[in-house]
Amino acid sequence: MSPLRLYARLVGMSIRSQLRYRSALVLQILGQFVVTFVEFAGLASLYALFGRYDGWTLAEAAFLYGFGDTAFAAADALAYGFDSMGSLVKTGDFDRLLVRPLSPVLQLLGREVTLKRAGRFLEGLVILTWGWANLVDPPGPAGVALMAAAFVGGVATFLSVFLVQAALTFRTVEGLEVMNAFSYGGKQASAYPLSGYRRLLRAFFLAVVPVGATVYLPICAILGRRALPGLPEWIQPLGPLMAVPFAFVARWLWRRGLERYSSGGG
Amino acid sequence: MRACLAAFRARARSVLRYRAAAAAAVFCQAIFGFILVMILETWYRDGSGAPISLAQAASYTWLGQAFLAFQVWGPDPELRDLIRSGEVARDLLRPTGLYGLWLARALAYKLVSVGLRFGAILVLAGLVLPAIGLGSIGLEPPTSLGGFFCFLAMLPVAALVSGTLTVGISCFQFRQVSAAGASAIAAALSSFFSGLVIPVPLLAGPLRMAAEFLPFRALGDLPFRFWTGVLPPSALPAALASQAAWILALGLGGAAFVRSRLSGLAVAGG
Repeated sequence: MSPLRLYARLVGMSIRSQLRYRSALVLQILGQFVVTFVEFAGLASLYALFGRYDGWTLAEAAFLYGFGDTAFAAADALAYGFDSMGSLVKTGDFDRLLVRPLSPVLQLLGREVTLKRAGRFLEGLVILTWGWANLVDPPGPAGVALMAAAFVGGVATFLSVFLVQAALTFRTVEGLEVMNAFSYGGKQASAYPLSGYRRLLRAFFLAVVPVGATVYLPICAILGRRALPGLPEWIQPLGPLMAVPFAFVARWLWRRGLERYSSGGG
Repeated sequence: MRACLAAFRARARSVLRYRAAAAAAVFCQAIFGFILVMILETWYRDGSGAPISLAQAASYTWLGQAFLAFQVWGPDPELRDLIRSGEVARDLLRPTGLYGLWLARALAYKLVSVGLRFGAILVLAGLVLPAIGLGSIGLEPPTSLGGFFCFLAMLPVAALVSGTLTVGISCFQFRQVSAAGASAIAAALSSFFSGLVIPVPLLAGPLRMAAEFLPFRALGDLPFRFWTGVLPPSALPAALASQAAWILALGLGGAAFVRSRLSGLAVAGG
């Protein structure tokens, strides 16, 4: 069977097993939706107080915020396996993945597609749609195509952060809390326009953990905004491409970790 | 009471051993602190008419990161594992009230976690940032000695509210084995309504009223308002009274729940 079909089977299994506890799942999705929505209400109340954020209207900010939330929620749902590396390595269960004729990355990805993340995803979608509907100049077909690219780029970037976290687990065994600064920190940072941060933080989220490049730059291009002073505007639609080198770095770290790995448990 | 004290000490010692985890957490808190205060700085650039100043908002935000471990982000991991594995049966054999035992452990977990983390953030935000010219988004010292004493007086209250809420979440496990769903929701509510992301004084009417009613504000908002001088020291008695009511309600409610559950308890695991 081809690797992708195997992956699809694993995903199917994980979804069916989660649907066993249907009422709990619905409650979790609903709870997550309400809670993330309250968080957005916080942003809206700051708008009521201050009027503008770095020149962005509430509709524009909602567009960016909702978009970032959908991308993060999708990556978070796919990355469950990477997140569980700590316990896999500690118990020695990871070794079982290595004897199977399927890439361990695909097996990790196939462990679970976390359905309860749908709560944040739906909230992001609602906010995004509301922002879109209230834009003065809503995106045309080219804008929608760029949104798709930015979504793929954003999800790939967050997934790569989780993969780096998994790769480092080979060495540290314990799950790495440090990486939360980059995954959840990246999510928090990408919820607001990058231009609002000071230089060092901007550079960090453009080049090191490029959530700013893959999400913020194309969204600026769609909204017809200048992303950052000193950055030529033609670069903005190319932002999602930054996910490619970052994913390669993550893969390289993962391979290196895997080569040196000599079982953790028994 | 002595049994609870022993449980407290044992749990405190076990948390103290995880110093590497604390160092990692401090790093995370620093990054989040920077992101959040820079966002505030940008808001205030165009803003007038805000109920508190940027300096107050930034100090408030850094304090939130320093005392982050008070947040209710899930059950005490030790108790969670005990319930899941069924080993909690051993606690049932002890001649002590179950609730007191668990509360003592949760308090130790919270207090030591905070103790290991807050100093580094206070030094970073309060001393390092002003020294490198970022004082405008750093942590300012308490506005008055009285305010500082009120802040200190609120810390045990924060620990008690945090402890009772933490045990409360663990109670969900008796019903559903996993408290993951309840934890996720509690975590989000706790960080939002204690002012971790956006200082409560900046929230719009209904949200602010909800935050000022809920117990989560004791985990951050209340003590931080005294430090930054948003609340005068004369507001201390009212603050203490409202939170004492919450602690009583949460404590008595939790204890009653545990007692009622024990009669029909089926221990999981083997």
